Amino acid sequence: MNSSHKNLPPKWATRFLHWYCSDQLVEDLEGDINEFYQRNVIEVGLRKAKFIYVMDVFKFFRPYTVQKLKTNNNMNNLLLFRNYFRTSIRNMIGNPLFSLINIVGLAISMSVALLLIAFLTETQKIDAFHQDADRVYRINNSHSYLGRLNDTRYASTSAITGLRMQESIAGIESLTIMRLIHRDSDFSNGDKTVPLSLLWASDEFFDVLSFEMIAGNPQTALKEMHSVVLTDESAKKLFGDESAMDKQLVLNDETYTVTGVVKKPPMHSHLKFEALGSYVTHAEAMKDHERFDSWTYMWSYYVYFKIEEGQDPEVIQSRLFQLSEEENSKVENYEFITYMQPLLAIMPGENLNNEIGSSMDTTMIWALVILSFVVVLSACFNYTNLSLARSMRRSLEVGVRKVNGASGFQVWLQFITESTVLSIIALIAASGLFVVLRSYFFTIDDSLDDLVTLQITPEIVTYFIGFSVLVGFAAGFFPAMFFSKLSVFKVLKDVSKVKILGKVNFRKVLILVQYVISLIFIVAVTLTYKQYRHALNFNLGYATDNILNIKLFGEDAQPLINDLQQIPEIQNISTSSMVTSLGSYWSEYTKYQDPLDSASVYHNRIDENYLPIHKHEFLAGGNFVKGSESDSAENNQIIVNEAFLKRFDMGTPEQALGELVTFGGEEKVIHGVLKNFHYGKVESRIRSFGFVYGRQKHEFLRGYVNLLVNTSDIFSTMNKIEKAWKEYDDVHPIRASFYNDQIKAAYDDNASMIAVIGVLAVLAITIASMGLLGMVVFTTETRLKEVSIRKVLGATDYNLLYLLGRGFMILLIVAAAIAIPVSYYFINSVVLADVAYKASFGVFDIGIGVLAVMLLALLAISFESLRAARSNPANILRSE
Amino acid sequence: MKRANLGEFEEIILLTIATLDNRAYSVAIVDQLATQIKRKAKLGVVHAMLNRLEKKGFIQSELGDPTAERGGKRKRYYSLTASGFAAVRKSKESREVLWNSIPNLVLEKLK
Repeated sequence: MNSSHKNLPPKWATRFLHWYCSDQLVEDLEGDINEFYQRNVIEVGLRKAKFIYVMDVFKFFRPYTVQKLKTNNNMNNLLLFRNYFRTSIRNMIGNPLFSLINIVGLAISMSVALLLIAFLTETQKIDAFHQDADRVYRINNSHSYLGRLNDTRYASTSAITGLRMQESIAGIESLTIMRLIHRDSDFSNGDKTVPLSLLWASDEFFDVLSFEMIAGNPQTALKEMHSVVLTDESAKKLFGDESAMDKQLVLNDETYTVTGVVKKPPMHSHLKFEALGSYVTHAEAMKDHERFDSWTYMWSYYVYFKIEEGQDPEVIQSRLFQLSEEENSKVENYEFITYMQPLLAIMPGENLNNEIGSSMDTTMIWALVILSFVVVLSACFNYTNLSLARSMRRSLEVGVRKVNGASGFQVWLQFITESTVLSIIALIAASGLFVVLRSYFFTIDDSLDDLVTLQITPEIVTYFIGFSVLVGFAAGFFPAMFFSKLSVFKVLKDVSKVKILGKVNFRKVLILVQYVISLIFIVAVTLTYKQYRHALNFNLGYATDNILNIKLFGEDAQPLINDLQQIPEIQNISTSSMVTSLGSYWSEYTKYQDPLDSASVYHNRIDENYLPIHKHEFLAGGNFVKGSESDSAENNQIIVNEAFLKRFDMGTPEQALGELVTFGGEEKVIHGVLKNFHYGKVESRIRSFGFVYGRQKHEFLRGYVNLLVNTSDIFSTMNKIEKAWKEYDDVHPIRASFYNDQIKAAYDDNASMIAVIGVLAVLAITIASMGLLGMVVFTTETRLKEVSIRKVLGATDYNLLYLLGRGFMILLIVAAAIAIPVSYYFINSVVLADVAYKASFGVFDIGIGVLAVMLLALLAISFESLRAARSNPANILRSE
Repeated sequence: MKRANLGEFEEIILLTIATLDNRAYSVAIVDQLATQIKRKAKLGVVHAMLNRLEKKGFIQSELGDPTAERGGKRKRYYSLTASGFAAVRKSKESREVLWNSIPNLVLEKLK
């Protein structure tokens, strides 16, 4: 009999035949082919027979043999789907509270998710418009000084990196070096002067980055000295409707020729500019400057390059490391490392220092994704929970369906359909909310306007629908599984015996999770808000009240100061190179007696009026005194803080007076010692600091004019100041703000974060409360009879309230017990880990949010429970 | 829409089924064609034709009893329906009319 087994035709072919062939035909057809096969085994041998058999199977794969049943099936499924759909709608209408809770919960949580989907979709398009964007990279730098690695990475690099790469690294198709000018450059066409943001870019700029040229040759536009390429917008500003090509422009007393007009950089570009100057012009001007070709000067130059097609970026990266090593060996103390950063990873991307344009932090985006995911999940929990809670009522229906021949899968499908229908309805509501939320979203951060539009495109609509189907699936998964596994016998024999008890714990866990999430949100918000208030009201160690800072644009401010002095409301005027406590840090390396011990010392250059205006407190010595113009004593003076003395071990303030230090290569004598104050934001610790004297002759003192204003009518005073400004500078609009407003603006990021988490917290709490309300309504309804009997037997309202609410209250307390330590730890040790000056968090700060959530929950529980407790037992028990 | 006239192969299949009486299943038909009129037909072609004829209502089929041969699969036996028989008869008659109306003289010449 062994041989007969071998004689069988190939099994897989038979299986294939059965798969495709219609049921009516398959049996005799298989028999026919089999008969021929057996005949062939004898006539032509086994192997050939098998071959013919397989061929026959394939030959019979014809329209008339292929299962027509399939189409019948589809019809059936369609009918079933219609039935499912109808049942879903009926169920929704039949349980308005249930549907309302779910639709509202899903809609609000989904609207946030939709916003994020639209946002993510759009950020994926940033910089993707460049040709071969995947082959374009930027150089990043990080550096260490005296072996200490500075863990920040910079988007900028030195100019020499670009030059060295061009000459010594193979596999680079094109490369461009750029120099960013931080303040606007004033271009003049005759009498008309327009400030434009200028970028010096070397000649292969347009090979690396494909910004669209309107006029001019992209190959040569940036080749010659004194060439400038304008955007269409700036060309219009300077030349009106005339063509800008080949026209002359004056910048800093030098004449430039317009060699090209480029379309304004599109919204989805991280790099924005209004004019491009030929890099050779800049290089020529800088050629004697020691910093220009210095390997260590990596703060203002940018290198973008495109690698050749098929080139392995790893190879270029390893060549870059080599190059860095070569250059590092030539300098002392410093070590620089150069990395390649893909163009498409710039925005959104890692948080880098010295970004060339605006940036978008990926961690921030991921945090938002996770948070909104959590909120959506919470809304899904509501659905799952309420569906399972109501399962007893629907299990009869499922039982009947099953008896009528519905398979487990079909029941599963029915419940998935139901949740998906619900989620699609929620999507419609969510889309409405999305539009509202979108306008709110743009107010969170001013720069968002320039980055994304969040317009609804067909692509985004597809994602929305896909997302809502996914949500429906997630929400309905557990109920669907539960119902599909339901045993018919048990259900139909006695519904009340259906084991939903096992699911009770599961449901409790879901509620618990929801409340833990809500509480974590609320505690996080209150704590970050407290920290934010703390930062704003922080005692900086000097006065900022009534000080108006006006930004200068590189011109001597003396004429302006002379004019401003005529305004009586202005009590005092000083100048400074920067505004402290806003998050800018200027530093110079400073040495004391030990030539090997140098420290970076923060500084600000000021005039003699600055310290009195800001009410800095002296511990020893005194203010700068304005002396004669030339090489006067105060030029060599420095006023330092306590931390400075501590850093260099200088003893008491009195002892330190008159000591000599080397500050940024210049000898300075300590003229005064100030009490410690905050130079940076509250995140950073107080470090050694020095005020040095600077006069208007120095360009770097042309940073800000600080006015001490004392006025009852701020508007008229501002008008006077603006008038004085107009006379002084008619090109740039005035940029003046009060110091306190500037400090507030410096913490805007935190404020936006709080706003975002705040919204999510409100949503999470709303959803959780609605879910809880639904559960309470359900439980009280099922226990209505019990309640009535208890009441008849003499239970008071409070007894009943306790009976009904106890379980939920325990749940809430457990949630609080989990959430409070987790969120406190999270905020204190993760979010605020790097903040040097933390607000102190009391029991009240943590408790207030928790209490609010608890109260809301309590309200939901007691409202429903009391209603049940107060219902008339006669009405309920009568029908029994 | 039924075609008024049978195709040549259709007619042959119908006649073969008739010759096989109640033993007409696909393999037998293929064999019969080979032995009786020396016509080699592929099973696939025959099978498709049977399917088509059945749809047209010229033949009907029923499954026989399973046998040990052909892997225990049942055979599908075909038989002519009334309209099937009418169709072949009509075809035969129209041919006979034409045969009979060939003048003897011509017949002689063609021989």
